[in-house]
Amino acid sequence: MKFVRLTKLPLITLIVCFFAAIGACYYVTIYEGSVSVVLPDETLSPL
Amino acid sequence: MIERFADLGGIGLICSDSIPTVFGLLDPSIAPPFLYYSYIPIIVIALLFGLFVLIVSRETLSGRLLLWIAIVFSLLLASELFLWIAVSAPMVHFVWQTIILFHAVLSFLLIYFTHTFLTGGPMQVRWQWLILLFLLPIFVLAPTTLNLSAFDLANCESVQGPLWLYMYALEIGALVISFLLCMRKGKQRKNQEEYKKALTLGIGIIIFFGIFILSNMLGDITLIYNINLFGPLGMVAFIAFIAYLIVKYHAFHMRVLGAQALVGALIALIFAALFVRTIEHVRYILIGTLVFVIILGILLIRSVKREVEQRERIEKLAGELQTTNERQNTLLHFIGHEVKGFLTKDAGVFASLSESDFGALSEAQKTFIDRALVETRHGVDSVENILKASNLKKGTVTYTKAPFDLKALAAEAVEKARPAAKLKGLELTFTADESSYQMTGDRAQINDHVLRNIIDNSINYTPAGSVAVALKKDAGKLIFSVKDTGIGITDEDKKRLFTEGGHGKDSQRVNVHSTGYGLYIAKQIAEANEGTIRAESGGEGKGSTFIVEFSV
Repeated sequence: MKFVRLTKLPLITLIVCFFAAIGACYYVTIYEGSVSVVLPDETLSPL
Repeated sequence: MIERFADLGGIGLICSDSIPTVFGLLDPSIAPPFLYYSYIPIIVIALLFGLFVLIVSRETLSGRLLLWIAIVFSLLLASELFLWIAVSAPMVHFVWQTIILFHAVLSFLLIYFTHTFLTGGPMQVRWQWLILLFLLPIFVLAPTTLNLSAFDLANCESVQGPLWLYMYALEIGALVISFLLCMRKGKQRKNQEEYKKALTLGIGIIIFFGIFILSNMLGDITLIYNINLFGPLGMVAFIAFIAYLIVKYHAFHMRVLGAQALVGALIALIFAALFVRTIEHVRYILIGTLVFVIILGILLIRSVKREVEQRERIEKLAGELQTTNERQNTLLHFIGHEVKGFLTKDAGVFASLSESDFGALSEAQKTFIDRALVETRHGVDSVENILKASNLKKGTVTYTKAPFDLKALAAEAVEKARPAAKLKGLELTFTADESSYQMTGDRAQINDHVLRNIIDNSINYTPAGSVAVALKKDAGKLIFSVKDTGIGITDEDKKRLFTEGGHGKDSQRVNVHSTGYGLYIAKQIAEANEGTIRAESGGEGKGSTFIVEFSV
């Protein structure tokens, strides 16, 4: 059992890191909206 | 001028060049002409191919990893597809941020798959941790400006940061490591076929990941993102190389014909053409499709031609083999008859000598002559068995069927076997009730090759104890059985007991004269006289019972 857990740990870490990073990106960009935007000259059109 | 998404309406901020027409999120009209052709069929084909390999290869680790590569690559392509047609600026930026994560996972999977495909086992845990260590900055820095520094609303594009340089360096590293693994493992095997297999995989990986990385890098450097549309073609090449490995080297333990793989490729090619967006571009795709169809068609014809040639060759060899077999049988027959003739004459001479027809023999001479007589008779029996089996196989044995009394015949057979049983110190008994045992069949052949054969067989394979012969009537059948306390029959031996030349594992150790034809002949003769024969045994050392049933 210990061996099985050890061999799967890197894969589990990879999956956790992957989803944690996606969550962080979502927080920064969609939830918090703190990404810098370079504006064009013309007027913006809201949705 | 620089602002933040939050100050500009958040997720409601849309790119100026698009109009949200699908779910308020997408504008499919802004896609480049070949976008769907380049992405959607490859997503479908990659996933189907991955699933097919996984199912047919019965879930090997390398099959599972190949499916994961297909899934991650498909998610990556789906994300890129979304970027082309999405209208919400923050959504575009968010998905663009996650793209680098798919690149990271894909690099990990590529090395892991290469290693597993070549070695058949999982990668060592320490190497997995080492790769993860290199990938860790990607996961940690993905949400930061090092990944995407800002969003350019005028072009509806994110501005990529220095983390992408690190990612490309890692991808090139993954590519080089995978290729070196192929070369190293290929050379270690010292087997030409294994080396070619590893080399094919190596080239497939270089083309797959090479095209993919190069198209992304060129797109990023030139900011002409149409170049990215060529990236997915790498996956097509990868699938083609894996399919070649399956057909040629039975990779993943799969057996697929070249013709099957080529037909699959043709279907995929035509299916992909359905995704050309505008009618004016169909012509270009058709030209490309035509070229591929010609190439695949030539390969298909060559593959079928090769298979037809192989079949013709096999048929020719089968014909030659049959002729050789017939010649060999004729020769065997000739030799058999010659040897039988000489042995029969010898047996006659030994019998005359033994019976003192040429004068009295000393005790030593008598013993020697009697021994020679027994051995010569064994020789005659063996040759007769081989000739009989050969005749049965050719169908040249004729049967003279007439009514006779099986009980009298069985009693006679037991009496003839009694001296041999006595010599070995075995108790030989015969039991039968008073019923009538009249049946119709070839009396002589049933006696010589069924009853005698089975009784002799039991005596030969019973070192000590008893041999009980019995005859009874049951449900309109005459059942003749011989039960012994001999060496028994293993399950393995049972399978070949009544086959031509089918020796038991230890039969020749116990009976040196065993030809392996006796029970085969008994079965053939019994069946030709509307009978069946079978053997029962509790296993090695537990005795055996041979049962012959004749329909009345």
